[in-house]
Amino acid sequence: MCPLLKGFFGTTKFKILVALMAVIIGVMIYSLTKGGYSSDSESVFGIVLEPFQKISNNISEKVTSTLDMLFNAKKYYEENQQLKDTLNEVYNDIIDYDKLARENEQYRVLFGLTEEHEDYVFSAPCNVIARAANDPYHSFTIDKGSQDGIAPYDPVVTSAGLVGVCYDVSRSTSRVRTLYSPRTAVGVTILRSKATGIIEGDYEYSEQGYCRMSYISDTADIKEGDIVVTSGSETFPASQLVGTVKEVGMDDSGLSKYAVIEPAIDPDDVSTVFVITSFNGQAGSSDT
Amino acid sequence: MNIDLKRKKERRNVFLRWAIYMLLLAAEYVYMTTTPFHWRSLLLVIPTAMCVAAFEEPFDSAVCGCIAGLLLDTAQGTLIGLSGIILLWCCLVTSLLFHFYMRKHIVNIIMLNGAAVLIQGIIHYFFYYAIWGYDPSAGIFINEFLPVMIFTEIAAVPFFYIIKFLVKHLGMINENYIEERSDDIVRE
Repeated sequence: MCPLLKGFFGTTKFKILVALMAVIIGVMIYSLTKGGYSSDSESVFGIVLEPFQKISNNISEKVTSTLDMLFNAKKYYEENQQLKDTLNEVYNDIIDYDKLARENEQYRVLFGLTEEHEDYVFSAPCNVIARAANDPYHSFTIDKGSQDGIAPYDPVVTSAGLVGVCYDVSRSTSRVRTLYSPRTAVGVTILRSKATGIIEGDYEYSEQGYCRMSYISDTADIKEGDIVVTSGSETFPASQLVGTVKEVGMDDSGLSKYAVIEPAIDPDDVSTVFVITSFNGQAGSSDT
Repeated sequence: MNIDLKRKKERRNVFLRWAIYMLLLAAEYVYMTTTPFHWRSLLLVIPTAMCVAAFEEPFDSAVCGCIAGLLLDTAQGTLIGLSGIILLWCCLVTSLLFHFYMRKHIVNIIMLNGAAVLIQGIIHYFFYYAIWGYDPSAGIFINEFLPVMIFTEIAAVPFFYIIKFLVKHLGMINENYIEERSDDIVRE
């Protein structure tokens, strides 16, 4: 070995580097034992980077929306025309809906049903401040964390339905794993036929913006266009919209069916979400 | 030039140079975390740290590599420290190689940057996809990791010249003295 090179390994600077490496390894091991929460060092890192992330995300969103307007003006014009037609249809539907709503209200009173989802406790609106670089499962970071009452495995929703689940929760930020991830398994039900299954992410489907519903009974009544909602578990509350059935097929084993689901929410388009911090039946809650 | 003034100017140059490196890393972090999902985001902090390592002292390079790695971990959502350790060692080795064995040539930095990108990519893929069985047909590696690795490797070329430019203009101040022969000197 070159004497100069050998000399470097004996210097104090090299010892400092070894110590730095030991500290990082310690932090990594500590982080792995935190069970979904970020370690303090990660939180410190997150706090330092959070303002950068917020500013950069604002800039990025403005640039993206401006470019989007410039490049897709024709597409939006056509969409606008279609939406006007749809709106007219919706007005007609509203008239029918109003009649049904009044009937429904009477039934509610009749059966003494409580207001839907009144057991839910929502976090304050959470802004998406960063998207994981090159993650095929589209995970992202939100600007609320444990100080806002968020815990690992809390479900993340928007008004349009379920987005995913929180993990790696630090004091002021949380990461969100979407339905595209194979680690997010959600028990679901087909609204029309009550057929059940489990939604699991899969790389091939996530590339096309879909996920897979597995473990459906081979006799289950399920067809394209069916609405899929959560069936309720310790992690996810019941009746949250997940998406619609795009395609149905038989598993390779021939014992069960599978369905390709188009999620109601595309994580790419999400900028604000809500976290359900508590609901009846949640793991660890007093109602469980 | 006055020796004190020269030292003061050199200190200012070093400060400016490192401030620019850190701003460059911060800007790259912003780019990595704001790229939409349907676009590939290049891991620009790797070539930056490696090019810095080619021109700076080993200890400084290793610390810079560690910071770049930690930023990469945060941007990719991986365990904090995983890429930090990888880039700390890659930058340290690169810096030592350039100090003692290699010429500061673009081909050399492309080779070493390629090795760093490959090591980081394979370790990330192995711990986050392969061992969990998420990618039995290696689709994620081929479609997601490989293009990013190739373009990140290509990105080393402009960064090499940017860092070289910075070091040249904000580096040590070399003063050339011209000694004139004098016959007046009386040697005993």
